[in-house]
Amino acid sequence: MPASADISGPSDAQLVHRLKQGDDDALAALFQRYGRIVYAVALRVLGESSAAEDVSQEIFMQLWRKPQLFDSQRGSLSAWLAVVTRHRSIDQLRKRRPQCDIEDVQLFTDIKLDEHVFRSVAMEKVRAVLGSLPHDQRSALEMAFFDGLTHVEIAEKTSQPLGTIKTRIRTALLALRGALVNAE
Amino acid sequence: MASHEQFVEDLALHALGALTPEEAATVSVHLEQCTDCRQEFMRLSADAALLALSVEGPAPPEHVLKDLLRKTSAEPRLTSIVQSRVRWWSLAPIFSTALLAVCAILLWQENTDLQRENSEQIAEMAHTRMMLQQATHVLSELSSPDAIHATLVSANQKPQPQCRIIYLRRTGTLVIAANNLPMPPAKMAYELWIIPLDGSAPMPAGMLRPNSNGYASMVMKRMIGDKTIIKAFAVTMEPETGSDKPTSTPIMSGD
Repeated sequence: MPASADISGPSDAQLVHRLKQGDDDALAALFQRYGRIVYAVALRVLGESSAAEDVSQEIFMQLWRKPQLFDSQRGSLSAWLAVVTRHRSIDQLRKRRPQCDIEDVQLFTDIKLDEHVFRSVAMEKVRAVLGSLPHDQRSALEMAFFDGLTHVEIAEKTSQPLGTIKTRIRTALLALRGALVNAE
Repeated sequence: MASHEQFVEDLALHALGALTPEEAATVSVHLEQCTDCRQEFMRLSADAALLALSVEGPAPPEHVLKDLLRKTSAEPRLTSIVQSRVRWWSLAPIFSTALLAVCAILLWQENTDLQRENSEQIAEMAHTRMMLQQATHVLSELSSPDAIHATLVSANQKPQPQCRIIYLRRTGTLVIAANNLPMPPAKMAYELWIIPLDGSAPMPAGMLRPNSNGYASMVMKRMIGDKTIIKAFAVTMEPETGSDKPTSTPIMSGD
């Protein structure tokens, strides 16, 4: 799969605008650009490739049918797609109706995540921070985010007090923010 | 009742979807009322997005894109029923069966479309609700006493009162922001009016009470139905309790 478009290609906003005009080449371009991220998140949550493929298609079909769901003023398309994919994958994992109004996803970040080079640098920083987290913090964070467990379920699963789990999750998530603050 | 500090602690879990449904509902209500928590929640949601973006994995199989493009090109189309020139009476039973089958398929398709449309409308309502929350949040920030507003004008000109209005037709919602408003006289306030195109009487749309910086803002939900066509807006000076109809000439107007 080709790498994401470099900064000289059409912007995400331009491609989304072309989607509104029914340009399926724009959809293909966005899939080339972000299909890997979407599939990776779905696969991480669902752990099974055909389910991840189904969710990936569903996400891009939704973008095709209602491109106005994404507003570039609210954040980057890559982040929005990643979070939306996570939500849908968790719903699929739990075999439940969609719990989240994906249009309510609000992502405000100063990091230029739409530019491949900036996103790569940012993600390297984030992965480094994740790797440096104490095991208990990282585990709690990942159980909450990728397994869709509530803090109550995590506490039961790990036989830890609720307050401890809450603190671990909160500390781990704030550590990610610190990664990018230090990166600038 | 949870203290504000407890809400702050729960924001990270809420951003990750790790609260129980009851806890999430409680936090959501608090977020509608607390600007600081809303801001922090948005930041935490962005932090959670970084977690999603950090996932590494293989590229999707090539057929995923091919299947996707095939689906987009095969979006529902109404099929036409071809009528046969064969003597219909001899094929009546077959024709009836085929007709019933086609009708069943069309009804199933329509049902699927309606279900999807219903989901989309629900999603659209949530989107509008979220946009309204965002607008309210932005306006509350702009109204903050420590917000600094500046109006750039040509040299030798004083900044004039201005009022910017955004009208969301789908929901009849008005988002209003005004600046450089002189303080009104005692017991008076600026009142906004909607002037309908059909010539009916101006409709009161709310009171603007500027702060010490001359800035005023408000968000008015479901002010008018989607059948009302707006010709113009106007602002007059009225008693501070408001008036059902204008009692003075417009200070500002525009269409």
